[in-house]
Amino acid sequence: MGDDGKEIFTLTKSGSFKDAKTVTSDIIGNLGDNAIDYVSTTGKGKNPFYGKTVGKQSANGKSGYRVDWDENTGAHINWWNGKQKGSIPFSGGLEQAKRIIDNEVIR
Amino acid sequence: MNIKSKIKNWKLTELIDKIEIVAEDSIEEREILIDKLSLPRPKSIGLNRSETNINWNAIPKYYKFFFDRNGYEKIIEQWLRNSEISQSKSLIITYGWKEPMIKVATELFFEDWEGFIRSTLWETIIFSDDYKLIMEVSRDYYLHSNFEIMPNSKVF
Repeated sequence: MGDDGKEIFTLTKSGSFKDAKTVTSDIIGNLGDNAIDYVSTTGKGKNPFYGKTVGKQSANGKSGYRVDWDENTGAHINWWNGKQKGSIPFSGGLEQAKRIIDNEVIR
Repeated sequence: MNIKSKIKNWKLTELIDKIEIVAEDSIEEREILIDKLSLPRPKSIGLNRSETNINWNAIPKYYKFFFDRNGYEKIIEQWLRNSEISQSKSLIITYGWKEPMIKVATELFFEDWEGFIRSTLWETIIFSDDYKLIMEVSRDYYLHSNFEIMPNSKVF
């Protein structure tokens, strides 16, 4: 994101999705027994991930994470916890992000 | 069951007595509004954080800026207060999957614009009460609008 942005950027040694997920869980903690799916809502009819689970969030939305992608960071987990938020990249690019969502690894 | 009693979103529960439910399903209503207002839709949609639900490049008056900057909270609040949207007494804000679309006093939004955007998980379209002024937040922390907020932010 922007150079003076508030997003915390974290790199894992392995760069794997598994480790990115572990670090995310360490940061945001337990989302609670009543945690809900984070569902992709962008681009109805044009986004193959519309309506699919791309992350998890606490029931009140204060903390959670989602799988995301952008040209600068590539595939990453985008997490938030209260006022803090950040991203943790993982290897495999957009295709890996798609596989994770399609195979419902998040759920 | 009263729709308000089902709300769990932290910001909406905080302001439960100060919000009006415009629609029970934000996403369904958003789609209806985009069509009703004849807003252009983007052609390519995937998993990119910069994606929007409105094709802003096809909007003649298009402004955008990166809002997630340290120390800019009050500056952006002032930009919002100085903008055309301040003429709207209330704002209509979309939320996420199976969440309601709400109406809230513009002043309340100005007081905690960042909290509202955070509570939408950085994915929302916000309309003035006459639906003429529109802002959209994309997941890469850009605020897109059809009116000027940050000075000199017009996209040519």
